[in-house]
Amino acid sequence: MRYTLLIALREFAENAKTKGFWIGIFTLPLLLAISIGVSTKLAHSEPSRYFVVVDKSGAFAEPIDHSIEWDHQRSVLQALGQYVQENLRAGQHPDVNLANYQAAVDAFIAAGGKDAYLAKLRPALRENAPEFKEPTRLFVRAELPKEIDAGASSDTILAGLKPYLLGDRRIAVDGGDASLFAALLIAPDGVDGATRWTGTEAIQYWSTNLAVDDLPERIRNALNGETRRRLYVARGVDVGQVREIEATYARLGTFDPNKAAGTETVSTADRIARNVPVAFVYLLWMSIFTVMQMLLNNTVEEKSNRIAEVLLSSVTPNEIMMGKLLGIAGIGLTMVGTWLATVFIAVQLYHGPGADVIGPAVDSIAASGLVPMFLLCFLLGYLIYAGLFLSIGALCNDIKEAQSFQGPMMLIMMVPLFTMVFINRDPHGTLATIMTWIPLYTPFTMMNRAAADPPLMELVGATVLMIATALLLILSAGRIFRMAMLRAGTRPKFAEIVQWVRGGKDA
Amino acid sequence: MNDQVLELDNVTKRFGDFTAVHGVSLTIPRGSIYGFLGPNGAGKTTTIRMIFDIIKPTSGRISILGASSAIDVRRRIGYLPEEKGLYKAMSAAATIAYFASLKGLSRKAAKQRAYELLERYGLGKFADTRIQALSKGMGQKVQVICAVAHEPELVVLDEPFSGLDPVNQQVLEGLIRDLAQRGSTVLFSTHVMQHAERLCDHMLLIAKGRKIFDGTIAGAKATIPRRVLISTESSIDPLVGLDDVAEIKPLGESPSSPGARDWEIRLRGQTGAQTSAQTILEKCFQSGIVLRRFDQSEPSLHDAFVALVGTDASTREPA
Repeated sequence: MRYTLLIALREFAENAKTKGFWIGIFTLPLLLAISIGVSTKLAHSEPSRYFVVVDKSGAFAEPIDHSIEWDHQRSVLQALGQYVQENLRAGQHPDVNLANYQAAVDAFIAAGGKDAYLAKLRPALRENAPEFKEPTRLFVRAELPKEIDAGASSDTILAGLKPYLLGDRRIAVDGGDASLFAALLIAPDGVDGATRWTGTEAIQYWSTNLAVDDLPERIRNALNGETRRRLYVARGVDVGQVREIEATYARLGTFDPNKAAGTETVSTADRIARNVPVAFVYLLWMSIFTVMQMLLNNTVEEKSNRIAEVLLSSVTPNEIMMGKLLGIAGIGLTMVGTWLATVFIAVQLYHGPGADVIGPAVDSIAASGLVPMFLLCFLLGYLIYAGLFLSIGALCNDIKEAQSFQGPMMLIMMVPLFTMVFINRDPHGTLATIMTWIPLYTPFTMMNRAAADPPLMELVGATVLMIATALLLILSAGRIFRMAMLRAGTRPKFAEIVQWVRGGKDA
Repeated sequence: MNDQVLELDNVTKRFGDFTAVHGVSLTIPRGSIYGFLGPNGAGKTTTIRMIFDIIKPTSGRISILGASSAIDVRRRIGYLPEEKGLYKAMSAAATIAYFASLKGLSRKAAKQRAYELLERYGLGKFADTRIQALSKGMGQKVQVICAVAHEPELVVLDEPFSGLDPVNQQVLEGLIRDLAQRGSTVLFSTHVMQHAERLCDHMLLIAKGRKIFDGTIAGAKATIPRRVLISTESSIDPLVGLDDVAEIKPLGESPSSPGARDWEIRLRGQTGAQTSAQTILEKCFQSGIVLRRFDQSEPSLHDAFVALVGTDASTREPA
């Protein structure tokens, strides 16, 4: 045991000593934090996009303006909700509706918008609360460039707009200029053409950027709304009543029968917790994948550098193997531990939007069986893959040979990554059940299903399967390791390896 | 205390159909420097691996320091394998300390010993240098130190001289003598006879897995017949039929003296006896044989090796 520990200690120290290891560990949370930070920043600093509307039908320009304005007011209300959440005085409740469904937004607009709401909210806010910043308007309708005659034919107007749409010219917007994001051309028969094919598209949306579909979506909403309104009027339906009815918002309570009586309501924290297994699967995968590279490299180094022989004169092959397994497992746990600790500390320090939801979610994760489940899956998954990678390492003469094995192993290891979202969505489905019983994927699948309370039989069965597989693979690896570590030159034939594994026959 | 540190009794190793070692027996007396000689592929490394219980013999018995497995006495033996390798990213001192701790030294004592030995063998300055930054010679020295850091009773060095320049070879020879003086028994394998000739008390010669000779260096030399080499332009007929002459072999045109021919005259009698050669020389004078060269030097271990193993297997490397 002393020698196993000595070997483990060396493996651990030599890997933990390298800068690359720590850089690798901290890169993941750092990248995560940066990408979250950057995308939040980007969302807040998205520039306004300008578009022009040439409406020869005269029916849609106003509804479109109204729809764009309504959407903007909704985002203002949303930002206001977040602002209030961040700056609410303890124990206070806002007495305005800050939800963002239609009726709430309509009420917000009707009440006079942000100024009216802010005046009502002021007493509930902290004294040193910062000024509320209205989000930028995402889409702004610009005037048609002066040289283009709105009365000209559609083709002429389009020809005049093309240099702007292609970025060769810029349109004038209050006191400056900007690039034209899109142009909407509506023919005189636009109302008719909106619902009926008239030989050409009566309503045309032109833009070089078709990836951003927010604007055409909003325009489509406006077109639909106005077209329907006209149909209601034509058929004598009261438009005001229709609007009123459309604004109703049905309640749907969501409950989980797994939870204790009285607390069955599914909260946002619950939803986060439900998705956490995916994060754990990813963590599991990353950690196992990373340490397997280390294990493989170290084993190949010992073989190709002929260190194995010196070691074997002092310790038994089993002691070497167990030492390596232990040392590298320590590395893996250090990595995982650092990641988890980083996340928990980051959550403790985080006070931004959503903190009131994330905090309880993290607490419920910590209290749930997910972390012990993760450790169990990590340990057994580690042993299963270590058995494979140790054998590969012992069989290869140098790192080049090892890499040729690594390719197929990588592909095999990618499967849990591809399937993790589907399994999380349907944790008791066919895919989840099948993957549970494939030993190489059991750890990842069980981790993924852990939050959905899989049947006890499957839980126990899968654990037994993982233990049995790990034992079998480690035992085989031990035999292969003993036989292959001293062998140089030609790789042993497959039949020979099978014989080693089965018989443990000596060289 | 047993006086034999190592005993092999009729040890055979087969790999499938191939017999790498064939019924080899040997005993190594305590305190000796024992040469394990043989051409490449003779089975030296396989034998050494069996000694260390890294691979098991197919048949036969091995006793090392009184134990049947080297693992039981690992603290008391040291090993330098033929293929040398160390962890490239570790420092010299850490490497030595690591291997010494695997031999049972406490981590503290191992570390102390590492620095001490590096200092003693002139590598003190490089103690904290990574192995990959050391020259090949230095790396090999570090590895030899790894093998002996725990002051083993028996040290086995497999081809310790290979890949070393003459200066470092000499340093290593010094180190081996030093070990013996400190009371260790040293077994080293080589296919370069000069090292064995300078260092060994005893030697074992194997070829194609079989033992060919086991004994002292002088004994090995005595196995080859005494001879005199001459170059002359004259006829050598007068020498034929002399009592001391067993056989005369023509060796062809002399490469060093144009026009002369080389001859090997094999003698009867004991090695070292001067009388026979003297008789031949006198006879040459009497018969008017003009000698360009008369060489009655002692056979070297190399000659013995070639004679015992056969010319094919001879390997001559500069010492």
